[in-house]
Amino acid sequence: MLTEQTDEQLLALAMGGDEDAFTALYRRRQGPVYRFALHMSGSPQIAEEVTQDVFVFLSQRGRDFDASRAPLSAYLFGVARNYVRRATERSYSDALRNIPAEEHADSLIADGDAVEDIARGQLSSAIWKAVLSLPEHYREVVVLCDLHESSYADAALAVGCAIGTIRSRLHRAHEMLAKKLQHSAAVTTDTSGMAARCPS
Amino acid sequence: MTCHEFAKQVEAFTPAELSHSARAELLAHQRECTACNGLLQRKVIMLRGLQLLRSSTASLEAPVDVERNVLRAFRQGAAGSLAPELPIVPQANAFLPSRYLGWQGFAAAAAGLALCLGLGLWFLLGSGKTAGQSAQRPTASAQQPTGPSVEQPEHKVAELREVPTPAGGRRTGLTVVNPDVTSQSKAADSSGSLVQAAQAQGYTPLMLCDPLSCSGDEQVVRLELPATSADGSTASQMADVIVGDDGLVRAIRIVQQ
Repeated sequence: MLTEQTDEQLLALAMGGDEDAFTALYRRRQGPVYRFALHMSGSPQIAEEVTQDVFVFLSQRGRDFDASRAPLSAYLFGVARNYVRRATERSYSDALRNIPAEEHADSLIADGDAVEDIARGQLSSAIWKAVLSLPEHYREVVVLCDLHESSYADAALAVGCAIGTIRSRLHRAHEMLAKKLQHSAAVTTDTSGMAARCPS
Repeated sequence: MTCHEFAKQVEAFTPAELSHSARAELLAHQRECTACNGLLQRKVIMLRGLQLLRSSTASLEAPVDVERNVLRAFRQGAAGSLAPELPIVPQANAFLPSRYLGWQGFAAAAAGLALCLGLGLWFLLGSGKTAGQSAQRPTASAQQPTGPSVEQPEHKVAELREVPTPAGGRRTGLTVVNPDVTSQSKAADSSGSLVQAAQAQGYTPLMLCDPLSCSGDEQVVRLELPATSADGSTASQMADVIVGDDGLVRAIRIVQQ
């Protein structure tokens, strides 16, 4: 069964011409790649473009992947990071103006208190704007570690730097985000649901 | 707990990572200190926002048409890699002119070819006149002391004769002929080696001839060449050159004076 195969095994089959294996790999990994590109760029159009580019690249250059150096997920994030950088160089300012979180604000409104839902939507929108306003090298560690729950090691492989650098960048990014959110709307301060940190 | 310790704890750990006792100390300090309370609030808001953002986008995926495009690209790539195993399908030849030329290109090429043919015919038909004119040059140039002079070889038979034309008529003109070489060159033509014949007479071949391009008559022309000796003085040097119908020198021999 293809669903039981690892990413690396699926890629090996796909490189042998097995379309089903490639489809299974795509369906398994397209979501994280798409969300990574969306979180990094704030633009669904760029996210679609990047997702397509990443997997077309994988289909053509997948033989170059070395499983001994990094897991495929980190490799894909690394490829996506380069494509996002290229795409956002063109339209980063546009993405900031479009306030991307508004496009998905409806999905934040859950059943319950309407005021709290609005506050949660506002917070989500505010945090996304804050994340997008971070310098790129801080933004990518926040996206990888906080939003994609990558380990420090995987984030380091995707970004191409040392684990200590990831730690320090994440710490600094959190400080910057906290300052940016200082004037945000008051929200519930329930500490029980705090985001998990990158498992080291 | 001091404010500094509080800040260090908050920056380093999430509440979930803290022990019960450490968490109780933090909460106690937070109730007493307004500044530290603000610090914790900011951190909580930030982490809560990240969690909300993560959960709100967790179900987002690329649209279906992206998958379609990716799989199409995969099939094309797979087809490319498996091409040698597939039946050979006639494909456009990269060197086929029709890939690069429209009808205008072909028309231009045809016009160029027709022009070349016309010029070739014109030169061929006018070659008799050209030969006659060129044969008169030795007499004219012999009267000019400056520049290389063209003379008839003294020790070889150089004769003025009438050359029969293929049509049976006759055309007259000066033709510098070395019968030995000509006869030998024809013999060489039959054997396909003019070079050997010329070398036998002390000539140094200057170009290799193939039977197709060197099948015509050759002429021997004596030239006076400028020469510089080792001490820097200049003097003329006579040389016999074998010139083909095409005007190219086949071989050369320095005449010892």
